[in-house]
Amino acid sequence: MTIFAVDTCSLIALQYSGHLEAIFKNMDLIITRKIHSELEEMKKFSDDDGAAAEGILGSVRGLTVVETRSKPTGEEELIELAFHKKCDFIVSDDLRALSKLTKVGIPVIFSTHILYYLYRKGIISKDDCMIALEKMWNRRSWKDARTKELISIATSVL
Amino acid sequence: MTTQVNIRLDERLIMEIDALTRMLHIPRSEWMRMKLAEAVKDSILKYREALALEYNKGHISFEDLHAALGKDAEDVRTVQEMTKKGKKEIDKLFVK
Repeated sequence: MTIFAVDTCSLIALQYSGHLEAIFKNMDLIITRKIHSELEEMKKFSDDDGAAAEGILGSVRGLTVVETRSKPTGEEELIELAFHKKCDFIVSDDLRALSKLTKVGIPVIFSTHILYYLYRKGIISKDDCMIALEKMWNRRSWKDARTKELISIATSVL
Repeated sequence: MTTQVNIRLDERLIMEIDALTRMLHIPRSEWMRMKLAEAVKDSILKYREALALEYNKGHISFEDLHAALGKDAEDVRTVQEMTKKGKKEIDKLFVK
């Protein structure tokens, strides 16, 4: 089974897609202790992202928390996982972290690719995939316009 | 570096601009430069996603994108390249 190590912002985006349950059921997703605690922190906020974090943690049985050496950020712990070959893909929408993540030598993909995976596996239709991307685009309270561009580009490429 | 651009404006609009600039005690050309720059910045902010999509579709060049978005154009290019690359990586998983 292919293992996907996912960061916090990608999980939030996938929660907004409305397909997180199907993702947990059909894919092997792992997170680190730091990412789990980032979600716990996020849950405390009474905004959309807080509610999304709460939703993810509510279905956390679909996620495996893998222990790593403790690092200051979730991305650094994902690098640690990749370095020890504990995952096949890193999933991150954090453009600022990409330069570090891509140096590890395993494929780095966006949350949008997870939806594409579901489509390729026949779990969702192409239309479902497009609707999910639209939901992600609409619902994410993006602090960064670049992430909206990321979804728009995915809509035309995938 | 500056380039001179000649535009024809409606007389009524010129009168309104002149009334404003007299009140503000600034030259007409300076006020117009400032307003044009503001409008360009606002439009770039409003249309940056459309610019990214147009670049992705090959309708505008990277140079055009860079002229509008500055350093952010690099991010758009990275996202485009990684989206295509990631798609290929996922496709590989389904090759029998």
